[in-house]
Amino acid sequence: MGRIVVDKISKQFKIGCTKKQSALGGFLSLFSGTGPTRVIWALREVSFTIGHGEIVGIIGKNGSGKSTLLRLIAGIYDKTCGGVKTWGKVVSLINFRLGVHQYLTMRDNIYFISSFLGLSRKETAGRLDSIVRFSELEDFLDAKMYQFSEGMRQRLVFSIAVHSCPEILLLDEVFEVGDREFQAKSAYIIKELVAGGAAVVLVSHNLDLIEKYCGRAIWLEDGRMKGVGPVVEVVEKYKESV
Amino acid sequence: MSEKVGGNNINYVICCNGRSGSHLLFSLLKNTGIAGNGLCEKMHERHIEEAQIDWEKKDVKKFIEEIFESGRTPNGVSGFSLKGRQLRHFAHVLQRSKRHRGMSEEDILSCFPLLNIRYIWLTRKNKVEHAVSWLKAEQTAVWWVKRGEGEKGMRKNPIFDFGGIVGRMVEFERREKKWKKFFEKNGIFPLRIEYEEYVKDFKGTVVKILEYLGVPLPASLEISPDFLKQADAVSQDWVRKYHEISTGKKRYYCYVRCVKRVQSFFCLVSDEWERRSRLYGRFLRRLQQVKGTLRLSTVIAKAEIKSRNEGSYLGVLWYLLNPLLMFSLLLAVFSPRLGRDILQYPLYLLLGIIMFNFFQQATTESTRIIRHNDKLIKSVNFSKAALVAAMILKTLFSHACEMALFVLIALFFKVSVVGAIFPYFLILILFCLFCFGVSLILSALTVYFIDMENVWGFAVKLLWFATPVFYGTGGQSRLFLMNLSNPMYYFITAARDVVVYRHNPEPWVLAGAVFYSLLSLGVGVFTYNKLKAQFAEMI
Repeated sequence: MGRIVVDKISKQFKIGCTKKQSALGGFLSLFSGTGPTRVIWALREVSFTIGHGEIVGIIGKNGSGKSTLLRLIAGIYDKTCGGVKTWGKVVSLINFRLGVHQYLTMRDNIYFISSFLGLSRKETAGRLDSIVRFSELEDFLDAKMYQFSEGMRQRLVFSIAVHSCPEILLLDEVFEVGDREFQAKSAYIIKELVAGGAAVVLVSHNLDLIEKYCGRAIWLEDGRMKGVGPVVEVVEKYKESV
Repeated sequence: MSEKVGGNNINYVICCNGRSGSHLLFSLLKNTGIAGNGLCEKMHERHIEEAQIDWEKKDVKKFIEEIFESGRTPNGVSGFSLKGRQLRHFAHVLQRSKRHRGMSEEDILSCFPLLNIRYIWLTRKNKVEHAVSWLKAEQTAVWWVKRGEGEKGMRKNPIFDFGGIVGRMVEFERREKKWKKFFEKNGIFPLRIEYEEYVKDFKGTVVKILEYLGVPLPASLEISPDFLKQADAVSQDWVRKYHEISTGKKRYYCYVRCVKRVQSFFCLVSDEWERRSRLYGRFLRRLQQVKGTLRLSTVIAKAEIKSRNEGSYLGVLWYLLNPLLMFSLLLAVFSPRLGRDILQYPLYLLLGIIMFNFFQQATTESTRIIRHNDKLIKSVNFSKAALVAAMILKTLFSHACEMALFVLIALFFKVSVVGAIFPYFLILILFCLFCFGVSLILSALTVYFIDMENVWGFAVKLLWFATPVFYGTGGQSRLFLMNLSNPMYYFITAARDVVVYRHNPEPWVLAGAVFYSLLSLGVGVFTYNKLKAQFAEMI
């Protein structure tokens, strides 16, 4: 049974560009603040299936459509055509901002962020100790977030995400945070989630990391799927192409 | 817990309809000693009723986990057979409880653990024999014969019933379609086993299933069915009779058609009920979504309020400063001229300012709300309406502070507002709905037209002067007629009638307030739903 089924999915964006315009067009653009646009296809007919208990890596150059694909799976973007279906709770960690309130304490922020990841106050209260312990920030529970370093903030957000019981976890360049010890802990908890039936999709430029954790890999280039299969084979082909 | 870390447990469900040989198949699997050892029909109507479970307290997911856990062989394999009829009964039992009201058969199936679950779809190719088997068992009350038990006494001698066979065939086809639909909808590829094939080769079938389940095969596999085949000469005679009637005699054609039509009519009625139940389920799910959005908006509003007042020396007093200054200034300037003919002018003015402030704060902030949360919107999929609702709740908090100031000033002017609390509360609900609708429209439009923030700032200023906040409309028919198309006029007038003048608002004023709040909410939800899909990529 699949966790994620992506069927011939395509995504189109309209982006700004320079174009020869009439004097009136240029005048109107100057005042309206909107310029001419052109259409680009961020993704073209991408299809794959990810089953439960799988870690799949997505590799490709900048602008190949990796993050767009992740956002389509998470339901953040609307597809232009094709289909995507997921079974289970989707938790996406595409950046570490996640609405962190600088002037609130870490405790308040844990409750705040957890509510976006689908946890009720009661559920969060039950996991509070574990979240804090995992992020190794026990001494800062009542400190304001603006006093936190970037690394501390990343550890906290990562800890909340993995404690929100994801059945599908989408990570965009946010896997290896913190020091070595924390990275080992993160890897262990991800493996636990996967053993429990979750599917993890990992987007990264770090090919060693992809090879280390993923069973399969998907290679995107210019929005098209260039390869899919066992991680070693796909990464090898990708390395040859660049 | 079935979802063990390590994922060693294997759960399977034999999806079938009655009389398709599920007991026999399960006994074959059970006797291998490596494919579960519990009851065959764990969700049988009798077991469910006898268990007398309080479904208000018991969670369905937990219950299903427990039935998988009971009867797990040491190698971690567990399974049971599930019939369409049993699933339907279980849904009815659950629907009796408030906690599971609106729960459909599909909802129950979605509660099955996703981890390591395998579906075996057991069917019978020969529908006539299937129907005959059911009808004969129903009439004789002999549903199975165990090996070594000898012949069971029949309740009565079976009587051939052509209509009954046709009816059963239609019913089985319908139930089979339902399983098919469930598998297709959920992307499940079950192992399909046909009764006719597996009774010819027990060992081959068991090996096929064990391989499908991913259970390593033992060196020697013991295959011993617990049940005997029940089809006998009577069954064969009935099958022959059915074929004779349906193919040979013309007058029976009409009969067959008639029975099929009646049957399909009842199927249609039953499908209609199911459809309604699904609709009800969808409605409840929608309600749950709204509840979730409200819960999230409360969390956001709390965080925003806390964040705003964090470290501030004056705290909530800042909320009062703006209306207090505006009130003092306008009172000093306009009281002798515009306020001469207006009863209780200070309170009239202050309530107008407070109400308009609410509208201004909520709508102006809504023009920024989506863009201010761009990182969040691009990272997590959540209801963006929660951001707008949170802003209304946040404004409601500052409105409560301003109303506290109003009560103090009313006491100073010896006006009691105790009796006005409830009617004002009703008007405030309508006003919140109106502001929420307008905010939804503005928040969505600003994503597409960045100028909306500036345009709205200008529009609100115009509206401030057009609304009788610091002046009255008495004796100015043109101004009064103009204000009839101004929604703010109705809300402010109704609030003043209730709070300042302690009488009920005119019916047309109330009607105007209800009309504009519903209109704004309707247009707001429609516009927001139309435009929300592009939010993440436009910001």
